[in-house]
Amino acid sequence: MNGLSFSGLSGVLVLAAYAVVMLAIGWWAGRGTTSSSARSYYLSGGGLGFVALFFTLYATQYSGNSIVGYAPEAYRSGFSWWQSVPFMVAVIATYLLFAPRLYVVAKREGFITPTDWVRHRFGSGKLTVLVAVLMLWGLANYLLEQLVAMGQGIAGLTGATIPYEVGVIAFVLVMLIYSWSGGMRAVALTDVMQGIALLVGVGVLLFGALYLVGGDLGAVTTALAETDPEKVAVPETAVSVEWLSMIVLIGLGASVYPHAIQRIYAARSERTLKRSLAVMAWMPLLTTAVVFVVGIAGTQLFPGLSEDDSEQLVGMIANQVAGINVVFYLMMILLFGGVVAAIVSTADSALLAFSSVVSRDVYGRYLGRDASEKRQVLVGKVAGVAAIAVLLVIAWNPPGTLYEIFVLKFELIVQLAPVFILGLYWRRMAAGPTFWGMLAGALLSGGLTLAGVDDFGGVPGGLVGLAVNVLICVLGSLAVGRPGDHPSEDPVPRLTAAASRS
Amino acid sequence: MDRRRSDEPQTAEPPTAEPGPAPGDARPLREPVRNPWLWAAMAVVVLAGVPLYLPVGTIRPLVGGVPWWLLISVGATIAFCALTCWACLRAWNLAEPAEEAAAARERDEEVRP
Repeated sequence: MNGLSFSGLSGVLVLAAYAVVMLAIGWWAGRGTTSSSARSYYLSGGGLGFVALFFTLYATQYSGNSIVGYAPEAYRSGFSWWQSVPFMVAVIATYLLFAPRLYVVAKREGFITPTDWVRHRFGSGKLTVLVAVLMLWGLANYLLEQLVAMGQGIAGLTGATIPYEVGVIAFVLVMLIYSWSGGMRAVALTDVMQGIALLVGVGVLLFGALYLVGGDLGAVTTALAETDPEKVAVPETAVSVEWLSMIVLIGLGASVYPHAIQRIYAARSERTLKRSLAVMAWMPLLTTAVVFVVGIAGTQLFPGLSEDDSEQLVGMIANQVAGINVVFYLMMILLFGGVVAAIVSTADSALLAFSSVVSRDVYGRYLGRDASEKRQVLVGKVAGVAAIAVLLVIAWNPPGTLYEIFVLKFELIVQLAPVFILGLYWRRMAAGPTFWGMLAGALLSGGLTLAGVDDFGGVPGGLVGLAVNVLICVLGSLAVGRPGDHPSEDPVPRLTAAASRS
Repeated sequence: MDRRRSDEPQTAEPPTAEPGPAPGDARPLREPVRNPWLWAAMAVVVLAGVPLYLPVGTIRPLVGGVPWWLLISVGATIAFCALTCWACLRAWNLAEPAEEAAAARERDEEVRP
């Protein structure tokens, strides 16, 4: 994104303004948070209301990649990239498989990390260690992706006036300061600002792209049908299979991300949680669908781009729109501010979840069993800073396309789905087979990736691994488990009994 | 199988009220996972949106410049959003009645100490 007509000092100023606002919100939010209580620091005391919960779900689920990575994907794939809309809806639909019951159990038992559920259900054995390892791996990968995107976004916004590395370090410091001081409360409240910035950014990007194509999307698709019919036609069977697979993979994978599960724990009430998710069900139409339209418009605005060049599509469109007049110029400043805010909001949530797993599930369980809660929280904070430092070193050499690393992290995270979705309902599910299934699924998925085998006729390696995982888990549990091995987590009899007592 | 530990540290405040439906709350307890029709409908709208069942390579007819198959997919996605939203609001009612009743009791106590 070099040579932007709207780059330079104004870009630096808008980023500086964003940073100041984030710090101010973080400072304000952090006043009521105490670092001596893990529940207060990591879950905001379990008291997030509708506005904060909705925006933190939104800003966390949609990162900057949802704009700068998905528009080029629509550009390259054509209409088959409409899949990005249903696979984002699938994340919310998958929540319905486990969040209602997990919310009740989590409030009753006082869970803080996702691993708390696994420990409650299966005991403190090797399965909880494997779950914690997979979560930390997935979160680290997720953070790395955000750091790479952050640098590219900032360098793009300022026309490299702020170099990639300086931009990343500056915003990482801002993020660390408000996360350190305010925990989940600061993260959620900055997410409100960041979510609004993302929505505004997506809106102005659509407006700009439509302006450039003369407002006639029908003409764009008609022309695309003439020039690139394969991008418009019903896709080949393998692509459609991949489409369906992505709905399953991302639906299962994104909903069991540690920071996603912690938002279930952090909800003030069931009413707040389900209303937030009900609105979230519509957000793909306002976000990834809009980005899809922008990518398709890009096929006519900048035809014939190579894969690497197409990664700069959003910057190219923004550059052209900004050159029209000062109003469009200001709108594109908003867009890139929104992109950076979206990246930071996703990164801070992943960082907080990473810290909580290290603090509670690694340090609190194994290294510092006798440590006070305050010390555990402090260790989690320090571990988060250390992880960021290591990831920054890796981020200096970013991989090729953002989308590829996005898919890779799902290959392993999706292996966690059975312990949440099956574990809540199936009392016979046993820890041993669950461990071996998860390990086999993770090794198979990772091995396929290392071997360069992306998919089998459109089915990603992660889903193949998940199938093996579930098979081992189910068959093994049928062999060694007994129906009464675990107390029922069914809340309905308990709730009904409570009602009859009252 | 690992045995469940009974010595887990309790990190949360003790629950203030046993969850359960509020007296007089007529809404039945509902859990989305228990509703087979919901998941059948979910499967239908998801599968209807994936063009697996359509002839590969088809573009026309165009409706307003947009291929008909994409319009089907867009329609199915909107149905998927609507169904998911409906399920969140109407097919899920576990802790809300008790939480609302507890909140109402707290409000009453504040008014009449």
